[in-house]
Amino acid sequence: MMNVGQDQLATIAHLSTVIIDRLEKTVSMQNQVVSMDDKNTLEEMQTSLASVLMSIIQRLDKEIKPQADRIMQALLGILTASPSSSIVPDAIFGTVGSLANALEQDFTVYMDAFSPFLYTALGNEQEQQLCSLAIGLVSDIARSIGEQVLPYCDSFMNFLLNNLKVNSCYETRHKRFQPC
Amino acid sequence: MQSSTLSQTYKPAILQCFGDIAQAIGGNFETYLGVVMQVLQQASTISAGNTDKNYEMIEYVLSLREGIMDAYDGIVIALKDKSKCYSRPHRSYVGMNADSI
Repeated sequence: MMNVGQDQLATIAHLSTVIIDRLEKTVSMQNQVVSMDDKNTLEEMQTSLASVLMSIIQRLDKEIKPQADRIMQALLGILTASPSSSIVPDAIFGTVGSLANALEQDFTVYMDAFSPFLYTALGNEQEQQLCSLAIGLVSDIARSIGEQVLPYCDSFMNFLLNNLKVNSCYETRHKRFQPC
Repeated sequence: MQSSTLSQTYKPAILQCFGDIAQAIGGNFETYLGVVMQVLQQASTISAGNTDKNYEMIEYVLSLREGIMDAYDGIVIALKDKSKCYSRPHRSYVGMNADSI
């Protein structure tokens, strides 16, 4: 996906619509799952779809803009529905990060809707992986939207400073932070 | 930073994040300058000590210092317009950090 030529961009754009369609369908399926098996399959599916979407966004860069509304809507839908203990939010955060990088200033419109999820992740030290992803995401967003991040800065700084204090209690020697 | 028992994962990342936020919001970073400088100063006092064989610790301290420098980098860029008035009290800290590295 990352190395596809310029002439194939139209195909990729079409593929992205298909993937978004699938993602939207999984949101409605989330209410129907009952068994553990179904749940695992669904989560696996969402994670895979989100990572494909991430690659597409990275390749299409600014061209993704017309789709951005639908993508964010689907991603936020999944975030609302999935428990923070699952692995799905990790993948979603990755996708949101690539979207922020691609859209730059235009990502600002989604900040109001997305920031609550970011705050929750930053404040939840039990989920180390998600928390460190969220920290990387704050960096990405700050770099992308520049001055417009200002209204959210107070909360970000509070959470970050708090994390510095709190997380000394949790030993995480064997995990390494990977910037997204 | 308060405690010296270390969680190695996020601290360097958080410090880098401060740098990024500073660069993003420019002069408005002033509000957080005091507390961030304090944190950076505390962070710079952590050292691997004499424990020669503890490579994990050494690696952590190195990445932490990288984070500290990234943060200073962002802050200096952010406050460059006003740096004449703001950097003076902190200049000696930055110098001290550079010495310890």
